[in-house]
Amino acid sequence: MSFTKPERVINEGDTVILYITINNMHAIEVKSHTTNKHGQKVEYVHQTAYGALKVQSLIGKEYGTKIHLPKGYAFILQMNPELWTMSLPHRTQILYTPDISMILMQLEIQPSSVIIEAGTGSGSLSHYFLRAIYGKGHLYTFDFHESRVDQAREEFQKHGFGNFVTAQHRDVVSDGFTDDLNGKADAIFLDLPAPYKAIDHVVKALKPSGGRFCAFSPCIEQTQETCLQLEKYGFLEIHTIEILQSEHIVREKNIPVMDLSFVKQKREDTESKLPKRDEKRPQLPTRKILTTLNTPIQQGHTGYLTFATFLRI
Amino acid sequence: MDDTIKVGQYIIVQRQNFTKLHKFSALDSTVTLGKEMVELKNIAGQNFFQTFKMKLIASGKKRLHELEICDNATNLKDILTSIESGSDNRNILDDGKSQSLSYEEIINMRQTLSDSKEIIGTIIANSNSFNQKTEFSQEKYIKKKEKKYFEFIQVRKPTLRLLTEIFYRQDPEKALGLRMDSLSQLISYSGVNSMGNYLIYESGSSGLVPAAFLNSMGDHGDARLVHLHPGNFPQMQAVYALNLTDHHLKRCSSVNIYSVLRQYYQGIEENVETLSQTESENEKMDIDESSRKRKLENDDTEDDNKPPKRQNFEEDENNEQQNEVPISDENSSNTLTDREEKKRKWQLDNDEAIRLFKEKFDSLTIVAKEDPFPIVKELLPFIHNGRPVVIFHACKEVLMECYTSLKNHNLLINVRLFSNFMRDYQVLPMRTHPAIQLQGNSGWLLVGYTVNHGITLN
Repeated sequence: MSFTKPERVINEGDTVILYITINNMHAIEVKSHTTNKHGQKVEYVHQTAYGALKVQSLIGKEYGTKIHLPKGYAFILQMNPELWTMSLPHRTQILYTPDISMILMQLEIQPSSVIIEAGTGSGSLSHYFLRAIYGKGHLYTFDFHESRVDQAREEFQKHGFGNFVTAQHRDVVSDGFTDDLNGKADAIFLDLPAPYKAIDHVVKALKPSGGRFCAFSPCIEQTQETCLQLEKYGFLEIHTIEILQSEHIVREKNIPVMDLSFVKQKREDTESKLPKRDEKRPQLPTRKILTTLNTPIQQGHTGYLTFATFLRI
Repeated sequence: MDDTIKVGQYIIVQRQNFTKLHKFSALDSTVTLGKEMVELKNIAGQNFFQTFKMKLIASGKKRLHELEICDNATNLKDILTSIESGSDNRNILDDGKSQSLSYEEIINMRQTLSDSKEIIGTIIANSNSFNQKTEFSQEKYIKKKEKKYFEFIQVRKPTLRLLTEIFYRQDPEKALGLRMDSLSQLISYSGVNSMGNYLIYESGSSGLVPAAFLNSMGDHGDARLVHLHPGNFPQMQAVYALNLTDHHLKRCSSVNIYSVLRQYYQGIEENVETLSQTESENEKMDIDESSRKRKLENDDTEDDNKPPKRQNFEEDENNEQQNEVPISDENSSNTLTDREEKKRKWQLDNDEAIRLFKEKFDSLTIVAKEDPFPIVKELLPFIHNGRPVVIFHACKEVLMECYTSLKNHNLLINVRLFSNFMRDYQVLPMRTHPAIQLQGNSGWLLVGYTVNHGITLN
């Protein structure tokens, strides 16, 4: 239930983030018992690099609290779409915060929006949509993979979004969206192998006055075909962009500083000052600087985002 | 929702790729688009996104147009289908002789012919190199001419997306270089939605940040926003441009950061006195700067000779106006009761903000030209534990230092520093490539989460 709004205290059933270090975070569901591999009900204990955590002991604690582990400590954070995207079980390739944020901005998502999404995938983007429309709007999400849909539906329910989402198993390229959605959507998002084959369905499902559209494609050929189809159906403001976010790791570094000027003068007592062969060279003085390093492996490509507006005049 | 254009609303006037934010303040007002002046009276009551044709009614230094509703804007590409084209540019010479019409003839034609299709058709017919151009470059040529002679405009409804684009394109500095990708991520990381209380400190983003928050908060839930700013008046241009209802706008309390914190720590009585009588050094500086800035912004408006106002904490009607917006007289008739009325308004805003300060907030967002660390340090006590903090700054070094200070004081966890790369693509069959130019400055985002180091478990 922990996604929908800011909560103060951890409740049973919440999915929370156990934050140990910036590179060591675990998503855990807060419950007192779990079943072991023999099918027996046992106390739920979560293992970390700093020892075991009795998950039940989290219930009632305030979010953001420091908790002690046998060999260290950790913090508990409330789950949100950003942290969920970093920790969710991948069933497909997923979209990350930079692309997702742009999709929400470009689709002009507001709390009252009715959104159609295909496919659901692992539900990374769906959670952002659901946070944005919580309380008033609705998300209709489709995937052609049945067990993925079931799993996503279960997660939405668990995370408190059940009333604002309809997850359905359907191949929208061949079958279109469900008929009850004709003329209903403010915004439609497609992440499909062939989004260009579903544009007629998009046109049908957008509101009588029109709406915004986005297709995500890692490949330029698909993007090109999508743009052609959008043009054919009279979409306006067709616009393709790419976004890459870089993380900068802030570091204080000590830079050795050499002084080469002394070589211009003759040394006074050459004999005694010459370092012996095995003698260590004196340490150079250093200068402290504050700098940033990029992560050694950087995201070089995610996908092309194509946006467009449809108007019925 | 009612989607018709009404007097008093903000509108976006679009002519091809050119867009302009404008307040449709009166039925008989005009908007200036480069050398064209356009009467707006015919747009009232029409739907947003409606296309209008500009019809010349008077020419002079500025050409005056009236607007006619138009259902089928001519597609100038049609001209192309009837014209043959060359296969490459081997016969094209840049000798300045390919156009046989003189400058005067073209100017003259512009006044006699009203249709851009006719004008461009004539220009093409008199160009002896046009037929030798390849089909692609003919298209480019027409696009270029179209830009100049295009006589259709559309009236768009201002949305956060369009406003962010317009502000960044006009002058990135006007919104602190807050590019759309950075703003979109700032919204995500701050976790704003229709539930919860949010705290922002903003200076110099033309109201884009509070506008983004109000947009995400909507008007149905119980979300509340406290918008701290350093000057006499909040910058609210982008907020007003969204044409929100009063009820929706009331979810945001815009308060002066010094005033509200002083009232929080020192109580209300002495506060009122200090506001009107003495000002702290800090405030003085800010006021001087903001009035100087407003002076600069207003330099080319008709009433730039208004004395900079010194009364504290009034609503600023001036601030929301763009240069071209005719400024009403409301300001000058500042009677005593008016002033008291407004004083009550800021006092109410302060009271509401302090109520929320006591409840504490669900996220903190700082978008400012100032060094953010001293601000974040003072505001963190008002944020619940385990909540996101997002800081945007145009300078990386400032955020690097802020990062180090936050770490040294153990104030946040999961602290990350981001920047963004974004580029547009031209997508055409066999001619797809990244745009030749891109906007190089995304600004920098620092994000982290508040924690409580004190309490222990078990």
